[in-house]
Amino acid sequence: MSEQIVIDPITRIEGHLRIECEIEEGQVVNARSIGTMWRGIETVLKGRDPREAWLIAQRICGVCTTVHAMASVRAVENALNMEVPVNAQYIRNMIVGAHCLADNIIHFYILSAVDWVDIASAAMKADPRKAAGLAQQLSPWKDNSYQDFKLTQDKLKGLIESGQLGPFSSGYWGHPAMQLEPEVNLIAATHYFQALEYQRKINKVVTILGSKTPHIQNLAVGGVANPINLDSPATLTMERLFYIKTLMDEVRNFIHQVYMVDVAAIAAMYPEWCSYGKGNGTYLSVMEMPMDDKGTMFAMPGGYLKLGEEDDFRRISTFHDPFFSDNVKESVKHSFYAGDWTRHPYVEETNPEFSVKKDPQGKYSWVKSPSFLNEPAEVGPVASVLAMNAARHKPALQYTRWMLDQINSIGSTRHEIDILPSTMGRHIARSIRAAVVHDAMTQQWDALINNINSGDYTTFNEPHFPEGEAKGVGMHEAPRGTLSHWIVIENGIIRNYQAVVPSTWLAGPMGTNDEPGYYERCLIGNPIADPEKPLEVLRTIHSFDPCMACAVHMLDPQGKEFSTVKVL
Amino acid sequence: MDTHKKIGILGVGNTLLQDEGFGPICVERLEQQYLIPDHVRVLDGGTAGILLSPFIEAVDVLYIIDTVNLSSDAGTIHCFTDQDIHSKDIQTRLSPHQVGLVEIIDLCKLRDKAPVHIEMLTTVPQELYVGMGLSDTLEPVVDTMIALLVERLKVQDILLKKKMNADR
Repeated sequence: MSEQIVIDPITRIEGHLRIECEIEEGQVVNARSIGTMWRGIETVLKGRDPREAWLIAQRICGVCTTVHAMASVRAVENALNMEVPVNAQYIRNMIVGAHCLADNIIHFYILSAVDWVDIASAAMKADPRKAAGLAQQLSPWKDNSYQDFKLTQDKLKGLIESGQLGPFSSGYWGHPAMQLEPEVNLIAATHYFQALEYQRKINKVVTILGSKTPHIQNLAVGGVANPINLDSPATLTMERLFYIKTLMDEVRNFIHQVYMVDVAAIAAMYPEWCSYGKGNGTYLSVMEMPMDDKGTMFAMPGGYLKLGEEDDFRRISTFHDPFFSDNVKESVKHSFYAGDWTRHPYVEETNPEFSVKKDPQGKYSWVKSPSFLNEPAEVGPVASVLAMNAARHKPALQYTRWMLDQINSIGSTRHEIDILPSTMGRHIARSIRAAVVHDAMTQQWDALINNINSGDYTTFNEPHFPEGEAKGVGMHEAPRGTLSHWIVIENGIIRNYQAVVPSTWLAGPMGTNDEPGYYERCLIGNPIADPEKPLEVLRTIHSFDPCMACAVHMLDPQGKEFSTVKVL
Repeated sequence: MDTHKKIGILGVGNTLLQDEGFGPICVERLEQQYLIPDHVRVLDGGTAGILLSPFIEAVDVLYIIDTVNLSSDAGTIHCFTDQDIHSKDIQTRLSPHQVGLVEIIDLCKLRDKAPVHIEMLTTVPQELYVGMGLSDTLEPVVDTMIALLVERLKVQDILLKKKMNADR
């Protein structure tokens, strides 16, 4: 091996994103979100057997594997108007819940915390005894002792002294926008290490039920492949189910006593970030965790919400509700695809047409621009939590109130639910939703045990494909927001397949009426203390939990580039 | 009692982007062709990031099968140790919005749970366009890579036995 070689990373997922921000007088005045890679993975599915689509679909994204698998089987079942045995629903729902919680914990602690938490301050300036006092005042969590904080601090000091910063090397330490007390930094850094343990515990639930991770193996169109036999060790036994419950209980404590408490504390100390990053006032989510075989009853509601003088909420009620399936469209007016159309996913085409000519009025992104009722909408935990509040879903009301009270009791600014659609609000909403998801997951566990005890072991109904055409949508409220897979089947073979993913809703370019894409809109007005270190832009982009790698480019009003930063 | 060193073989990559799927395809074929003893663990890691850490932390020696973007010819094989990667400051991102492979190994180290020996066995891809299956250039490299793995395991005192009815 020669020494002079240069090694670059290879792109592993479908998309790459470039964010251009124009800066004037310390704030973002214009932003463009540009998908720089063609995403056409759906074309792989054409001509294949719909029963194997989910196995391929879960390779679309490395981290959201289960969500694409779930949306895919639901799409085929929807097209065939199938019933899915309730045992299968409960088992799938527990996988959905466990995956979501792992994702939420990773997102906050591993991917976002360094935007807010100064690791150098935690290592060098914090007093671990004071940190313990503060942490114990905020939460009864068992691992908030002086020793816990001292141990983390010593570890961080060792890292800084060795110069091998590893996972923390991308942090903007000492940046003027970092505002936490050293002790709060140390608390968050300590919980970072604990988060690694707890995301692993909840992921174990996915492994046990899905029989393998990162790619689950237990799904099937029509149910799940988990045989339930209480006497056979090779199948889903009571022992396994009780082990799952133990893991769930441990993770519940982490969510309630660590995650929610930390998000509330950090939100209280960055009050201005509850007003940056606002969206356009329209929010879309779908219901999740079906509790019956037809997909008409759900543990968590969802729907479309338009905030305004009179808040308008329209619930999406079943997997067959035309209000959802009729009103999702995608536009390619500003995307590198042939034509200038806004179409329903069933009849979309994915014919690339790239032009190197940069035309701000024309096509500039490989990402399509989705709309609901012909308007862009925010998807994600904010949309889900707002919809659940509008639907008067009890756990959501309760946890929303708890978080707002907690934030208000720590900070000096009084906040209400209208802060949720904001950069910090997205983290708040995600933690509220995590608590709701955990409760719903417990409900699934109880329902599964009860149903097994009543003697029902059914987990699978065989699909039958009709002659001619059948089409359907698979809805899924994924951790990053509403995901839908659209399938057209002809004589048992896939004729068309489209996945409208959360990051497309958010990272898409301008839409049919030239209205800005969601990131583009939310970045305007963001403060920028130092264009060379655009931490503030990263905060807003990270708050959405983007599903694409993106590079942020900071430009002055003449279009001259200040800096380029990778967002990972 | 099991006193064997635990060996991990991890194939990473995206099977929907042709040659990007080299790692997963190699481990799949390895399992088809050879009997894998209990203390050797084989995983198709796809493009998952931090989800791979339990697997990584459970082994003493780790071989990662991957593709790499080098200026040399497609299909050539290049091996790096963990130290090579760090000294060159390579960012081997699995999935860009996740924590990268190098960072995951760092995290495992931070928890004092990293394998004692890590080696990446990589090849240079020819085609990365959307599609399943390897290019004609990389297809034969799978056997070369499996042979290399078998050699690596020999050094660890593990002799892999071929399955009776192996397909190929």
